Amino acid sequence: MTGFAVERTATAIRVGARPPRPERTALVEARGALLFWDVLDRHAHPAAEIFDARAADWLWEVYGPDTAAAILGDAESVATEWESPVLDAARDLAHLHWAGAWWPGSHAAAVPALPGGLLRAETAWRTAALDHLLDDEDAVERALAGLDLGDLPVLGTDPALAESVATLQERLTDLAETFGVELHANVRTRPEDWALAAGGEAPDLAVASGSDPIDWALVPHGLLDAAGEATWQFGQRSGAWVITVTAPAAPGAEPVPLIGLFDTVEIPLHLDRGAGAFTGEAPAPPDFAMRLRGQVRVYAPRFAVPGDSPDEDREAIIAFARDRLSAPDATLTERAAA
Amino acid sequence: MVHGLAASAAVPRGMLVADAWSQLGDAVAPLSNASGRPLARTVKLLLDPLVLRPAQNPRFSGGVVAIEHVDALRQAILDAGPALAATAAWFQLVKRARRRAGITEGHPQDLYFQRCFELAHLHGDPAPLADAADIAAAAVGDVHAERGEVSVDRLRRFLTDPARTAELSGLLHDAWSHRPEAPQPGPNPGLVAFLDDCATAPDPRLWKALADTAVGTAEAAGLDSPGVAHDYGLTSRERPAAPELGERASKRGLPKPFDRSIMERLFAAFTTWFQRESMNDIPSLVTGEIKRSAAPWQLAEEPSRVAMALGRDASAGLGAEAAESGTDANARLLNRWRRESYVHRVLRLPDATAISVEVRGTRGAYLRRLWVRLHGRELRGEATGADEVWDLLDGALRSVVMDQRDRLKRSLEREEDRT
Repeated sequence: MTGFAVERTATAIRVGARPPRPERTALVEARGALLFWDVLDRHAHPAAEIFDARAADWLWEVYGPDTAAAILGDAESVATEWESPVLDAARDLAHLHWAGAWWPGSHAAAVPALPGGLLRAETAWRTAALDHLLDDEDAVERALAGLDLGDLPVLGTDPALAESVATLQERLTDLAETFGVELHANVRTRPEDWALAAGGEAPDLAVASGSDPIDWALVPHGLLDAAGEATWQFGQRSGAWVITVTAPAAPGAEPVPLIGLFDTVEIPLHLDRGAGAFTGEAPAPPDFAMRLRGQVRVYAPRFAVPGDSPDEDREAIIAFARDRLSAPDATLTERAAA
Repeated sequence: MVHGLAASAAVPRGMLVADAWSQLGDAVAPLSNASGRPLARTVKLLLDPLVLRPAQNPRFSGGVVAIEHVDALRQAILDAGPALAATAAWFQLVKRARRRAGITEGHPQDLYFQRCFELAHLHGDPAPLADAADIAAAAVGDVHAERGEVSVDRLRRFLTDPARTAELSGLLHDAWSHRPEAPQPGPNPGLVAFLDDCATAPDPRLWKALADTAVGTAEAAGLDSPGVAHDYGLTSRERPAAPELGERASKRGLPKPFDRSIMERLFAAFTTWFQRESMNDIPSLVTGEIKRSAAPWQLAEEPSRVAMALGRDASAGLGAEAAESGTDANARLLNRWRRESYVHRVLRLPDATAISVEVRGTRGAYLRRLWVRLHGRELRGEATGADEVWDLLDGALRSVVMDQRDRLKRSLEREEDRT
């Protein structure tokens, strides 16, 4: 049984509340409404914001006809025990969207990266199960267009998983034909692991150092270790004052350039695969010793502008992800990662 | 599956359709999604126009169906069961024929659903037919031959034929030198009233009155003043000028609508839509397009012009930092826009302001998209009813927003590829 308060504003009917933070939010954009699940406060049924009741004619599929009628009527609270394959598909799709954005891959916390190709494939399949109620009329075509069957993992060691992946591939091939999308099937060659000589070694003589948690929202998914902290060191190298920043890389991170920001000093960071970290060094301005009370922030240029650091529920989210790997309702993608 | 029917006097139509559909079983699976519901296009192209026909059966229209019509609706779908099952079987065969013919263009559901329904009525279930595969192959060939008639090649040959160029240029010159002086628009309360209700209770009489009194034409009067059409994003010029006939066109880098040559205008419609059979032959398409280019809003039909005026007013403030909403439609579009930045944060997409995505150009992109859609509807001869206007206004923004989202996602991938 899931219960919600219902509130009516000038622009929307609110069923329950939005999850408090983006990294907790599993979202489905349905026609006329957003559906939200909070990954840290899990319920079978989603909270919702209905902004077009006429378009949200599918609401009964998610809450059941009586609850849907009460929501669209004048009930101030509702409860439901409705079960349906559409509700299951919506919950799965929301979870896959969340995993694509926030799955906290981490060496430090032993959370493996999810296989990206399989994640996109499973997302496309779940999208297709909801084609009749999504806001984007071309959602299925869009999801299929981003797929590459060559990216599906080869899971020779686990016959049951391998069979599930093969079934998924078959279904997607048929789906692509029904929606007129040509699927790619390129075997992608991954760049070999190489170590970049990017500096980042500790200064000869460090006079100050510290570390700060990484703000997930400032970097694209899958680059930095979700449980990691960025560390900085201020010191001398060959007689010059330098600041060095290191941030641990996520499992399977791509070598995208990042920036460490300490006070107003920008330190370009590059992936050092040997060290498993993004590292870099920059000359420290003359008065830098006066500014050491700041904190280091790591961000991706042309992705986000560093603002105030929010409080994140990172430990709880990492614990949630770890549980998912062995959850009875784990997605195929999660099972393949475990 | 349907619970609580007795509790209310009306039932969601989607629920009734889903219930009846599920009784048709696996035979209609090719027309269903993985949840067992009819595909969105199954409803749009088959169930609505060919089985339920709400225009003829008003009792089946709208989002809810009165309790006394529930059985009739269910029965209508069950009665169509054998035809729908045969349609589904034909669709499978047609898809196979398409694959064998190596055809990749167009959306299979758009192209073949109704054709398969015809085949189902002509031949019934294909299973016992020895020549079913041949019939399917012929149907596919037929669909694509019809579309080939009005091909981009033939259009180009027609427009560049030296024997015709002088005549066509003359037509273009005449059309543009005899453009009627548009009356100066007064404040029109009809546009505001329509925008206030179009999302919830569109008024067909008001919609008709706006077209009958040429409100769209009047609202085009300002477009020739310096900078106006430019600011709407419809041209890069200071003011609109007569288009060229044009010799070539490519999908990439099409100019803004008013700057497109006649060739580019028709080309864009050819490649975007797949119902060329409903289009005119090439000579009348070209002369029609020449006249259209000189018309108010560069559109031929008054309802399209009214829709542009509505879109212009409904999109005020889109992409601006802070915007106060006017009409209900305007508020709804601004809300979609605000929702989008929330969705970006939830999906961990790049901050649009941190990369070079044109956020402030959103309104221009919106009016261009709306124009292109109205232009396409005119070419296909589709009338726009009062109850379709909001979907058109909202759909154009959704499409612009989803394209921006795709660009943001691609910018992430490019960032990886660059390194």
